[in-house]
Amino acid sequence: MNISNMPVILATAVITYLTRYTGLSLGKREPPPFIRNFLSYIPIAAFAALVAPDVVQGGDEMFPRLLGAGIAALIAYRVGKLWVCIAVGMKVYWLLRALSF
Amino acid sequence: MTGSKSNIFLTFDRAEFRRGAVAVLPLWMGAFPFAVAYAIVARAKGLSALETILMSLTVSAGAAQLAIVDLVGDNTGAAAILGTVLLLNLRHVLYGLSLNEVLPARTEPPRPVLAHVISDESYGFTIRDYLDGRGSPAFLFGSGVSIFPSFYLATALGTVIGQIIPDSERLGLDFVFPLSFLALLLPLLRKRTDFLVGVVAALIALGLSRVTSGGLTILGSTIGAATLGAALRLRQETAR
Repeated sequence: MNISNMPVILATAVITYLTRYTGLSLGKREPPPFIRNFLSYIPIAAFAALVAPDVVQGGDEMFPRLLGAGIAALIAYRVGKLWVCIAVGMKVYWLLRALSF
Repeated sequence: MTGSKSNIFLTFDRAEFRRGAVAVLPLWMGAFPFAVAYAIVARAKGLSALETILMSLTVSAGAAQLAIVDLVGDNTGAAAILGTVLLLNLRHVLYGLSLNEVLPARTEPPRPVLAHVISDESYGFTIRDYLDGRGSPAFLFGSGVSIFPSFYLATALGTVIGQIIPDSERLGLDFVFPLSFLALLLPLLRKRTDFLVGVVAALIALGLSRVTSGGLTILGSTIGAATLGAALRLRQETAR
């Protein structure tokens, strides 16, 4: 066992915590318009960035993921319930995967 | 809010806490195999059982943890490890800034406690809840804490009996994450600029994900696309 791992692990925990706390710690103040607009687009930008690389993949995974996400997107628009969207998306994904293997 | 109050350690709205905790329940399915995979890699890279579990308890950020154990296993210097962790987790600063806009000046639980539970998931569900006209600090707390039992248990399981559990990639459970964020994203797309920002973020993310890891991909594409959105909005407003 490497005894020197422990300080590094604790230091990574501190750094991770600081990244989480920084944004919250700035207090309430009125930011300039550009910054306020920037902040208001963070949800859309971050969500899209979290989705795209996990959906658009090559090889065997390409079709099941694209179609699963596509049908889930339709459900999200029609039904609007998050868990229905997830359940249907997973079902389609698993079905297509099972067919292609 | 009508929820009862707990006064033992922390004061917060229990009904809102429950609502947040329930909202992210579907993601347990994805977090569990992810934490198992992390624990298996950590043990394979030479971390002790205690170190493996301690990191899940203190760091509680799956993707960063995978990167850390990888570097530790390759005997990378401490400075390089800490620098990598900082970059991988910088997106939390954006989440914190975004949440700070909607959270009240005083929160229950207080901000230093809320900070520890910020993750892709808790941020996503909470900011959507606020944008839908609800949202509360206790909802954020609940949505963040909700994942922890599953995450800890999976780490412990992966540490002890890791090899027996089937590979999560073969089961495809990780697909629950993009599906969730897709469902969070779509109702937010109302104006043309919204669509543009989303498409640009997705394209940047696709490019970046080929050359770098998840945390940096999200950081880079979010900053890039949100800057574009802010610039476009500013132009629209000044043109009026």
